Amino acid sequence: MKKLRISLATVLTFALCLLIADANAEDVAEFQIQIREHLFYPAEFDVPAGRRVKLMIVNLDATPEEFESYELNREKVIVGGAKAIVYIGPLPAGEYTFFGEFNPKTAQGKITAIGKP
Amino acid sequence: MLLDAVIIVLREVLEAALIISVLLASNRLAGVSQRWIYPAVASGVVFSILLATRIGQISEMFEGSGQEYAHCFLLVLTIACLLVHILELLLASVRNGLGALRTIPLGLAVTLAICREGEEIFVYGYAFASRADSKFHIVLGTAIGAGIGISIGVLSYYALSALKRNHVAPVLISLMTLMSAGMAMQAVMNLMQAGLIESQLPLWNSSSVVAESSMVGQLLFALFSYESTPTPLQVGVYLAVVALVFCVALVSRVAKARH
Repeated sequence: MKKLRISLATVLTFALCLLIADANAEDVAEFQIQIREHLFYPAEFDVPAGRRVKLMIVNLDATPEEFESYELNREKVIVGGAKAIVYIGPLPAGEYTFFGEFNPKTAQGKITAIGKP
Repeated sequence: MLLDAVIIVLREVLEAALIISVLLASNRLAGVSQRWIYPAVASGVVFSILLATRIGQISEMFEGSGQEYAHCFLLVLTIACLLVHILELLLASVRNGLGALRTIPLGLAVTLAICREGEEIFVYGYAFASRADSKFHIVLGTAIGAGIGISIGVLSYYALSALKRNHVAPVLISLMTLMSAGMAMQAVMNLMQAGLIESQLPLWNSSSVVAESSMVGQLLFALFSYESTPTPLQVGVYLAVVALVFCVALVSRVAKARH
């Protein structure tokens, strides 16, 4: 009985270690978005669900833009000719729209989180 | 272009106007002069212009996350000011009147709020109003947006002032507490956006009830930083701020009862 308990504890500890190691090993998926003439390129793309995502947003216009998304809870001003990094996720699978607040009619985009969860 | 300008300016001005109306109503309750509001607003505008003109450089700091850290810093300072004021209201008897010195956290909170909200307006206005084709629309849109936002602020100030005397303090303290808690949630969001804190899967999704992009959602955001998909950490800090004020209120009530 005691032996069983010890081996059970070992297995559980091992499983826990694996979980932690897995969380640490989780790499960040990186994507780049460009802003040109108040449009996003790409305007629509897929990201893995349940993982952290690093968005590198490059504003090639001379005017500033604000990257904004209600669904992603993100907003960031990117001045003309500058780059910005925005971390998003882990996201549940689904669609997440984003837009440029300074030019909302043209600057529209959508991120789709695919896979589990 | 005109409508875009109205919306951008209104969203920012509304947030600042609501904070200011609540703080002014709270100050009115104490019966202290309201004159501190003028230097507070003026310095807020100056600082927001400074922040807007330097936002490019600030953004590049801390490996591209300077903007998030700056916003987080402004939010935390505003929360500190609001909490100091709330604690003063709870611990001191309001009827004794607060000294003029005690308006410092109020003035600072106003300056910080305008600085944070005004920055975006100046970044936007400066960039697009300098172009001949959009100048008129931006200037008119800014005037309309600011006009609506300030009007709502003035209305809410008079609505709060019209409350019955024994209702005013609890209502104001509750409003300021929820505002602080919402700002704490926003501060956490900034750190997650910067990648400093690991983001988490949201605890719930209430966007089918109130979408953040809807009118009600926008108003709730301006007032209490409403988020339809908060992470467990955001909910945690929100509840922590509310619990802190609640505990102090309870302790002060017990202490008063003993006297």
